[in-house]
Amino acid sequence: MNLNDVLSNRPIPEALQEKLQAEIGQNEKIRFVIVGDLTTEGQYGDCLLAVTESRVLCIESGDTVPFALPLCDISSASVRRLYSNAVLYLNKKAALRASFAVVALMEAVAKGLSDIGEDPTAENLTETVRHLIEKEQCFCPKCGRALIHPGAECLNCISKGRLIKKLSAYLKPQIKPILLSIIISVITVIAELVPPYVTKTLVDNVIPQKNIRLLCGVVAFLLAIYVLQAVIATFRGNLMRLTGAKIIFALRSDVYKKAQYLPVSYYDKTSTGSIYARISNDTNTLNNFMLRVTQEAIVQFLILIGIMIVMFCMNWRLALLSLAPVPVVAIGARFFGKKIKPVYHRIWTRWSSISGLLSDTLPGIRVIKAFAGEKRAIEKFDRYNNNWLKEERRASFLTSLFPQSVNFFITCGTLIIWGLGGSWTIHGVAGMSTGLLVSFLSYAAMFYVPVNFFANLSDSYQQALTSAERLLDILDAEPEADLGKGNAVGTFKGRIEYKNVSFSFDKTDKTLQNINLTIEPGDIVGIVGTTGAGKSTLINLLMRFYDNYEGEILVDGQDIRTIDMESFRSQIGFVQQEPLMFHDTIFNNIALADPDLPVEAVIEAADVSNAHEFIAAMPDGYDTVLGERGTGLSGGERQRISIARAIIKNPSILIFDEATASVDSETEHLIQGAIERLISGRTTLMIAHRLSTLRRANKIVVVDNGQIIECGTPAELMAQKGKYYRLIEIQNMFEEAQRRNEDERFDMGG
Amino acid sequence: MTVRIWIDNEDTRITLREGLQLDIVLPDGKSFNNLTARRLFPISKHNEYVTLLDENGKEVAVIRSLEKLSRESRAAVSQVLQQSYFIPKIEAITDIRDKYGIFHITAKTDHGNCSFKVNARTRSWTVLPDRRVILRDTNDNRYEIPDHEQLDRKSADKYLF
Ligand SMILES: Nc1ncnc2c1ncn2[C@@H]1O[C@H](COP(=O)(O)OP(=O)(O)OP(=O)(O)O)[C@@H](O)[C@H]1O
Ligand SMILES: [Mg+2]
Repeated sequence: MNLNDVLSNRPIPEALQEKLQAEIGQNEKIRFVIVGDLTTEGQYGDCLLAVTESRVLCIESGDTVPFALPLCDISSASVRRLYSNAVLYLNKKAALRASFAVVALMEAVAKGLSDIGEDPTAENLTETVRHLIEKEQCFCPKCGRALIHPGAECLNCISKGRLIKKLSAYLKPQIKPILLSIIISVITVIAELVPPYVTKTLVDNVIPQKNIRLLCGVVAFLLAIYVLQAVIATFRGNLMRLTGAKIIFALRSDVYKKAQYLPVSYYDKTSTGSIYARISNDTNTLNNFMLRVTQEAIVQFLILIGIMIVMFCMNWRLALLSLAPVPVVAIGARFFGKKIKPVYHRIWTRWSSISGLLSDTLPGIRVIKAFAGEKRAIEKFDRYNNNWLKEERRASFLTSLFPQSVNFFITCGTLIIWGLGGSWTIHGVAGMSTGLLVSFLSYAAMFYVPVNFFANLSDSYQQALTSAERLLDILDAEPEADLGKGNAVGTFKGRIEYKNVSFSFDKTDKTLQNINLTIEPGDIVGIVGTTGAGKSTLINLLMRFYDNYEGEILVDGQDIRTIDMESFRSQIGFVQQEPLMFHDTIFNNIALADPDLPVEAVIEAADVSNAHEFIAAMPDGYDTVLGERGTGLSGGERQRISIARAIIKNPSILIFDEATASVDSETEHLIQGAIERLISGRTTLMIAHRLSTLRRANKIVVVDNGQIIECGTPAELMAQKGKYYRLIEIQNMFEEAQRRNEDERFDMGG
Repeated sequence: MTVRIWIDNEDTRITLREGLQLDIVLPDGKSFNNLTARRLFPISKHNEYVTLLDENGKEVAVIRSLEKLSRESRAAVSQVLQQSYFIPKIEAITDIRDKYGIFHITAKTDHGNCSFKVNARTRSWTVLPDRRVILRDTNDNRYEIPDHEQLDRKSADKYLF
């Protein structure tokens, strides 16, 4: 049998192919092969698990004896996720070990094999595996990044292009001022080339002939040139600064715009501090570089060419000699670039840890003070700051060593002109005159300015490259997948279905496992469970904060991933577990969905959520400006504002994640009443620890350890005497005890 | 809250059973079976504070330090830990290439040679104060570089830290 055609997640390594060929029988058909990367002993090495119509084969590289098991003899199959690796156990025996790269496949196989009784020739299992392998192999052929769905365009590759292409998009709108500036710089170049030439006339003709009138003419001419230069320089400087500001403006606003559309998972992995650093510093660095390239570089290049032409016309031999140091400088610049780039990378990393620390600790200043942690915070900051200084020191040494060495070589270049040119002048060979030598020396001095410039360009090039990479990281990152863009929905009826949904934040653990749940329109669903069970995660998936889950979630029969994101989210009112306010007025915080909402609607919403009263009592009322993250409000007040914020959208689906966790029982009662009025007819999901909150719920879902363990009407669950029953019991007991306590205290007082 | 059982003497017997599970017999004769060992500090402390969980994930006891156990018990626990925790120590990086913000790394580790991808865009690595580096690849596998200053400067250092 040809092993190349066998379904497998990776090509089967040759050594294993031979072993496998030796094991399988003549007419035995291999269904699929899973190639792993570890031996059962925990060393890197190839291994495989092959499933045929009748048995499972496990083969490892090395001398380990292959292990075979008839499908009908499998009594148990399971996968244990360990740390960075997972083991597939068949009948309690470790059959295959692999790193997390293949863990999803292993789990599918384990599940299929443990149900092998219903699928005796592993046909269905093969289909599942084929599906998974196809999904996993759905990556961009160019860059190898995973694609959202098979055949999707790789956002990385289409938008990446070359750096220049990407950045030139920012230069394009400014093309007019840039071109204008280049044109006038041609005038500057000519103006700069003139004075040394005039020197020649001065030395060779004017002074020997003692011609005062010509001298006055020359001086006046030079004055005119200098005035012209000054005027042009001022104009150009102004033009360039403005152009630069416009480029930064566009770049910064694009980065921020993009940052808004990045998926939540991007923020799980990237510190906000590093994003601040990009928006504030990197845009600047990059802009400086772009201006340097488009402006300075062109001017300097023209000067370089101009001077070379003039020098070669004046005396080609001397001109050739003065070029001698150029190759040295060029090679040096390359070398320097290689050395300095990693240093800039490290400086950037250090700097972004500092800004990360800042954005982490300053908003948390109350916590630091409460734990008398000021000194420790300072120490930590100093440590980070020191790390930065260390790298900066290395960079500053390199960046000052290099230009100085360049200078040295260049000065050596002028020495050649002094020496040889001088002796040629003395001996009168090669058409040399004193005036020629003097003006040649001035040109040589001017010539090295652009040489030096280009040598040092590699420094700012490296710096810019680092910045550009950071910026492109955001600009090129895949935004939240919005495959159904344009597929807007009207109002939802509110039927929600979870079908075989499994999800893990990272591969180390499954946060949600095989969730199946149907919620009918108008249902009021209470979601309960111990903390960390996965309740909020369940909601986060519905909100489409993460979309890399297995299975599907349907609303009104449509896969939510195919619905236009904006219209989808605007249909859902979500009161988050940790209500976050912005540094803005209370009014704007409530009218977050649309600042143009009528004032009365806002007041109405605030009233419904029981926030109106306390807002009205504030001196500035709805105009009260909250501090960053909503400081200035109590926890319960914040919660009430976030309820107002959710209901004002008039959503067809309402979600409350612990909406009344931090208010007292009386306020809770009030809010509860308000919510009850509000939810009539809308599908409502309520997560609550206090089960009394859920008395209106007609359906209770108990989540435990990422799974739904009970689901039904409250009465059904009470009759089941399962987890829900126990939770109710405990809370009743607790409340009873509390009441008794209160009574006692009351008695003692009375 | 129940009192936590600390294991820090030679009198506790810990034995290995198949499937990386442990049975223990405490000095007072109480015994627990089918326990899973898990490090409380998988990155900073390899041989201290190992918690033992029963089948429901409930903690039964905590080993203070492997050093304090009898030789046989220590061997049993070490074997389980070694098998469960797979954090290859990178001895040398043989090749590192930056492709569109993803580092393709080939490395020599104490568990053999391997190649993996690390996302450079999200900087999926942590540099600890003692110069150790914990890398996390695109599949959420962990790798450790014991001392990044020891690693040859040209490759990893250049790109990563
Ligand atoms: N961004 C994240 N990255 C990795 N793991 C996460 C993330 N958010 C949550 N988790 C983990 O997922 C699990 C479920 O979390 P979730 O927030 O859904 O719990 P919950 O049921 O809402 O708990 P609670 O009642 O305390 O709010 C937890 O173990 C948590 O540690
Ligand atoms: Mg929660």
